[in-house]
Amino acid sequence: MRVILTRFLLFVCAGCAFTARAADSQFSAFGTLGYSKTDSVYADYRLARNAQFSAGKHGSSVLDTRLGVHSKVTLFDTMSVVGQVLVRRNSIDEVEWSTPWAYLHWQPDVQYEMLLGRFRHSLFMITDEMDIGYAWPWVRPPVELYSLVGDASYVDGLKLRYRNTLGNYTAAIEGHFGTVHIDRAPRIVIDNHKNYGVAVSLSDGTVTYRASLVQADVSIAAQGLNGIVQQINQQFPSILHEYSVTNVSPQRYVNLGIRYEDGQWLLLSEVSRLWLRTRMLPNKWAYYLTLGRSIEEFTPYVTVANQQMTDFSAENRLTGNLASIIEKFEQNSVTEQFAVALGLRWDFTAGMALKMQIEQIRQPANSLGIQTRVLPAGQHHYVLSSVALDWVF
Amino acid sequence: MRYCVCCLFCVLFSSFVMGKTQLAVIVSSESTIAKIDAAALQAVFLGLLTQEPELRALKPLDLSTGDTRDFFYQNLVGRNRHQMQSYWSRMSFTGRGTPPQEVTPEHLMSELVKNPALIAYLPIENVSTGMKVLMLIP
Repeated sequence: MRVILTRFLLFVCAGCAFTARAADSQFSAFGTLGYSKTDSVYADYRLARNAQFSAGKHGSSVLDTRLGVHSKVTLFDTMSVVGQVLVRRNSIDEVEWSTPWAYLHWQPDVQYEMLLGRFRHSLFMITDEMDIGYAWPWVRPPVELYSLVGDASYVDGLKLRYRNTLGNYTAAIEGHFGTVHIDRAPRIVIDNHKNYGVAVSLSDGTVTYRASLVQADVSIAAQGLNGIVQQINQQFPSILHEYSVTNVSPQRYVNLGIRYEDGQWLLLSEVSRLWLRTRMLPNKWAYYLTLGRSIEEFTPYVTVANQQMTDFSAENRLTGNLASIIEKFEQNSVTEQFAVALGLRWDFTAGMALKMQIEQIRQPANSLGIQTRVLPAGQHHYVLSSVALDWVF
Repeated sequence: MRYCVCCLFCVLFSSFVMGKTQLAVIVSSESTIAKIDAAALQAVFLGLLTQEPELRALKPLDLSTGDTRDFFYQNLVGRNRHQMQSYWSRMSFTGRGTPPQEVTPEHLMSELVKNPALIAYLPIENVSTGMKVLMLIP
């Protein structure tokens, strides 16, 4: 049903784009060309714990490079079709065409909106513009927070948005309900049988406050996880429910954010907490704080970001080979890291920005961080240098 | 690293200088709107909601990229042309709003007097008959 709905909407988008010649059509594009390298052969930086690609000592463009096309076809005064095609590297290191946006948009007046189809979930401050590098100050959103959700960044379903004024602020509340299906078999298949969320925001053009909650009923089929769960089922069925990754209900994410931008000063901050309800996926919380100052076309900024695990307790009920497997799995699941980044955004011409960022990433002694390798004993930090060219057209 | 931090803070706390002129915020003389305050004008030109329902129907017009437009946004919301472009990329690529229609000064003057739903800005010396001035900037 979900696949049929998505294909139908994509078909509608394409059909409208070709046939509605009299309608008002807008096409735009965006992209990023990035390059990053670490200062250590023991550090291969990546965007999320499950990402199969990284940038190491010898440098790589894989982290941030992407290309997208966005279209909006207005059918009537109140109705339009919006689609976005994105080409980028997915978590299993394949260059993939995806459609993060493909929806029918109905806006009967300025206060009410309805989106039917595929859209971004409502969790983070910049989830909506997640791939539009030109829209934000950094080379990339702080991975300490933005890696919490992983692959499930868009939802197939219905989103409703209501706006009104509250003093000089525009207040908005939006809710969504839908499903998520990510098929990267045989490595991983993720299903959100239900994905629903609500976000409220207040904005006056200078400052925006935002709070959101997203919940999902999740099933994961992954080579590594399912093998371990099967062994637990065979040897210790009484604790299987704690490790199950099938019909985990509900996984919950909460986010609070603030954005202040007065033309000279820029402040961006978010804090997120998640409860994943299975011992196979540790609970975490994360935050970042960015402070920047705009001077003409330059925006230097500093960012601190942190990701930490919560509610973690080592498993001591298992025995034998399974106990050592779980112990190793738990050690590999510790992704805590703290980053301090200095960066500069240079808007050197209309619609293009060059960004440079250097960050020091610190890992606690027991943590592997979000990177792929293991730092040598006694070394707890490394430096990542990045440049990115962002553009919109 | 210490050198980088020093450079960053020197840049962060340096001053910002801006030129001077005066713009008129205008609607058609047939418009029923008699006044608008800075907060409402910001909301109109940033695609946000205004408290007054009659202002919500206003459609803002932008001049094509240039000094007049830069001066308008610098004084109204404190942002330069790059910051405004970044703002609208955030809004338009996510379906949350579309930037004001861009027109030439000649087109603006001819369209505005005919359509009471439009609001725009011009150097004060370009204001002509058929236009009503709601506000002066700065």
